[in-house]
Amino acid sequence: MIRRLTFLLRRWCASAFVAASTIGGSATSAQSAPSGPEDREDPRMLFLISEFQAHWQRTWRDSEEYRRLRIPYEDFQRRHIYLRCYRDLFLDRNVDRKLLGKAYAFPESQYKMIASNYPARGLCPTWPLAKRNLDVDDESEWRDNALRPSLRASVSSKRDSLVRMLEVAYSANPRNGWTAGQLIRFSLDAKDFSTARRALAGCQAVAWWCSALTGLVLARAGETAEADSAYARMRRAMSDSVRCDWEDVSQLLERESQSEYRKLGCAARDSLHNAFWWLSDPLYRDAGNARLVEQESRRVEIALRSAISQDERFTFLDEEGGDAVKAVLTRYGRPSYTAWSGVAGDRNESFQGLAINYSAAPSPPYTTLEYNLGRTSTVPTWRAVSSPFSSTASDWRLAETDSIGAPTASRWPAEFFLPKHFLVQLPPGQTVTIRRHSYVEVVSSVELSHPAQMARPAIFDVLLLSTSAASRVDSIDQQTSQSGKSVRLRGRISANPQILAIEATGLSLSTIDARTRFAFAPPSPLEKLAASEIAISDIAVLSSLSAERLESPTDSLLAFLHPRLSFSGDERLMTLYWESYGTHFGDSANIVLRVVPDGDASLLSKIGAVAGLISDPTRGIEIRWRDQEARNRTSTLIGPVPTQARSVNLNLRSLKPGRYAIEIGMVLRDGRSAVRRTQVELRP
Amino acid sequence: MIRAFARQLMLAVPAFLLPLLPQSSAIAQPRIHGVYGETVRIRDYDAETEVFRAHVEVLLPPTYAVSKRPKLPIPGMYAWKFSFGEDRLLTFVFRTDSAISATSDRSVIRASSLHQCKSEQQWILDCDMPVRASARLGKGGLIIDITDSVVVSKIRAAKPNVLLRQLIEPGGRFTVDETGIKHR
Repeated sequence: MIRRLTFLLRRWCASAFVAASTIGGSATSAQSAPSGPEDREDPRMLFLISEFQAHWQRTWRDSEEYRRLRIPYEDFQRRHIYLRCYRDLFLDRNVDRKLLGKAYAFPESQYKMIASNYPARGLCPTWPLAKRNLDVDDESEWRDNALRPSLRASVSSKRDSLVRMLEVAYSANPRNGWTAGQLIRFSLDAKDFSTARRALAGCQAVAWWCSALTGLVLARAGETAEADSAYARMRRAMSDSVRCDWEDVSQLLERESQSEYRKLGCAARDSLHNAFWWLSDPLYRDAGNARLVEQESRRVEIALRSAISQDERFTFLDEEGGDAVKAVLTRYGRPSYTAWSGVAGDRNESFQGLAINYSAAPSPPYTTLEYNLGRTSTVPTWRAVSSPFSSTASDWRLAETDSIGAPTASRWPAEFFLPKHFLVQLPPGQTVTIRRHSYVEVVSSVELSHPAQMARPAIFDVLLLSTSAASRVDSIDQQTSQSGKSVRLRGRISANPQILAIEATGLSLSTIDARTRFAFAPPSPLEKLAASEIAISDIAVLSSLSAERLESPTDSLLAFLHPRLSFSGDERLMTLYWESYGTHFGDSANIVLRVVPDGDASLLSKIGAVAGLISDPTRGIEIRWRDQEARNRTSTLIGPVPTQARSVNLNLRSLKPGRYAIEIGMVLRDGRSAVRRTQVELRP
Repeated sequence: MIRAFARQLMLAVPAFLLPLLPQSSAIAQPRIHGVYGETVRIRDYDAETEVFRAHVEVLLPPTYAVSKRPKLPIPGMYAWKFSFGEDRLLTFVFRTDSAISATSDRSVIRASSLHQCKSEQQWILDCDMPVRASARLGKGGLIIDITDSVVVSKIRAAKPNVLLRQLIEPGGRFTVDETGIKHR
């Protein structure tokens, strides 16, 4: 009795930690198939589907029994804690080991439990929990990969028979959305695309549902752009209320952002969803939004399975934990492997005791949900979704890798998907603009030096793109380069706020893609400059160049734009290039170049270009000159707004490591002034 | 009688008291279904199918919905499929002959009959070899008493130690499990 009371008290205390380590438990997934009078389930077909699913599960149980008796014991131990996923068992680090036995390890800290609204248990998806699984392939690619290869033929044969019967039922009533959906579902599971396409051709169910099924077939056939179009038709054909429920993305957000999202009404969510999916597109260079297509496909599959109480293994009834199943599938898609602890595990008296204690409805078989590494998260932060044109490269966290570029299990994101190639984050590089009379040019330099690119050297096709909305993507420049090298891209851009993206796809046999993207607000062309206004361009930090090259500087020097704003060793010898607008050589401009620890420069900017000398030469540099002096080289572009191109060599080797601001200020005789700054990092 | 009492008690007794309960020494071939290196013997209360000299008593799980005696009948087909042995030596279905509206397990039993399948692969509705048997409700589910002498002798000769069970109910619900077999 005392032990029971102590156990209950601990459980009550542990509930305080529940919120921090669980997600989900949210509104029931609203991806539902149409439910009109035409879409009633066919009782006979439902019976046959249940029989097939039972047969599949029997075959899968046989496969898992075979594997479980042959896995190392430590793999079993590691999986144990993730099989049942009761809140307190998962979270209570003070659990009485004598009471519950020594069989339970603690879950790793990066994982979150997906809680169900109904019973106390939830689901605990993870990365792989064993180095190798026996006689099994990735189930997320094909359902029957969960079965031992020697057992797949019998299941395939039974499924083919089921598909034939569904075809007959469907041809008798092509308006029935339920039958159409189940026919498509099992045809795709059988990899029978011809039957699926034939069924779509005669689909007379509700318009949006036919488009949904079309999108699913095209997506599974690898036709991403066409699937994207089909899903767009689906959304247009939905009523507002159906679309609002269908498009709910709360499950894909981090926990902190979910409540903010749920406060929004349907109209506000519409525009947010446009920004959300636009920013989540993995690669703008590819036709179709692969991430959106994957999400819509998951929604359709959930709707198909929810139309029946359970699929081959999992329940879709909310009161039995089906809401947690739907949440897992929404966030992560189908798992790569599900390990089962067997009949003994399902019936384990301790667990049954816990089920009684927590009033959890039993829902065997209890399995892990393991996802292979290589998956990536392309959904940005809530901050970026709310304000796309303020986003920075750090608003996206793609796949986590180790020092040799291999994916790691250290981070468990709120959602992910499996892109066609392993997608990693490029370093931010350096991007500058120069202004001309009627246009603006952007120049970007980036290094293809992600560990994944270095581990598997390859040639990359690199594209610089600009996008201001989902339907507006412009290619600016294209180059090829190889692992470890830098690449420079240059082209004209429009003057409105946009997202700039640099995307490198591996050529030939390479399976690595890399990208970076960030919001960019370019200046306006010089024709917009006021009559008496002067301005300075972005400061371009170039590799160190010889004095001869700098005799008559022009924007061709931007071909040497440094791929990083971080310098060490000899890189601290550099050349700066910038342009001043609205000034002539005869204006006798006073120019000040300062390199100061970041944070000090803003103060200097406010009090003007004239300031006290920097006393400590290891903490800053200040150089002043007049235009006529030979300190720097200048070239002038004559035009309605004159442009002076300037360059100077700079030696920062004497400065201590740290973050610095390079600031260039210009004051004319008539008092007009302009200032520009950029930030750099100096490393040892 | 003691064993039946023990079964009742087990539903309420915490796990750590189980070793104190009376246990039968008559255990059929132990089935290894634990983890690597660990052998789990099926205890008596797991062995829910019994093979006698002249008949076989198969215990099938009760339905989920109608066993709760709903107010409104639940229409549809009900079927149990069970196979003897991991190699599926013999497979049978106990099914309603057509869709019925059931309000209890008893009404399902009254409308069902036992058939043998050619193989475990065969669809339930295609299994049509009738088998002599009777059915009744027992503690823990349905008891199918197979009295067909040919079937009984085949099962006695093969001595399978596991019964693979499936239950298909209306509404898409199904269960798959397995239990032990005790040979008397």
